[in-house]
Amino acid sequence: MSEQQVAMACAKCESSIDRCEFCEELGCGTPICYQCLAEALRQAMAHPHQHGG
Amino acid sequence: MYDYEDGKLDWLAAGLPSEGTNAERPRAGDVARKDVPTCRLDERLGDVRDRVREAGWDACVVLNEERVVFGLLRSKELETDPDRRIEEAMRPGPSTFRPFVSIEEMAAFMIEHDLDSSPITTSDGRLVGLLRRQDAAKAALELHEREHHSDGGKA
Repeated sequence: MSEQQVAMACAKCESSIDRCEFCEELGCGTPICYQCLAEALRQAMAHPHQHGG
Repeated sequence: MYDYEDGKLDWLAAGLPSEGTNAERPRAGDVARKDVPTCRLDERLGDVRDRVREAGWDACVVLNEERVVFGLLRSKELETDPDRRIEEAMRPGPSTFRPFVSIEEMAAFMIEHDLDSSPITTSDGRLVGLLRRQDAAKAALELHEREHHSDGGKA
């Protein structure tokens, strides 16, 4: 990790992240990781079948 | 009859029209502004800034030939050295969101994170439009009021 990088933790799951996945700011007060964001916005929904039906 | 081969989620992710109980609830793709200015990687920042401001905007989405989002210029990036190329000045790989995301959830996140605008794209990264915080908040408020009044205030 470089000196300029600041350790951040996801406000929901506390996993370590480089930046907030929503606002992309290093100094975000409520940083969120990609997985929690995808879940919160329901962006990543599993397909019921592999062929996408 | 026509079978859309990519499936229902890809249909929604592409911002195509839907029917059913939830179809009337506005989504990010419905509220996103389709007239957002766009530019290419090899343009000069000063030229793009003039065009963006003339159109009354303070943001511009950077696209390739296939309309895939490569970057974003918000007001902070637009104000840098006018002789820079867009490729150097842009915010690369911005977080993008799918058109079917609830406008209430997007508005809440945008307000919480103090974010002015977010690009809305299809699942393969093509631009649908730019969602502005004030548009998202207005649509979410209107939806809340409509639903509150439609149940006769029984809630």
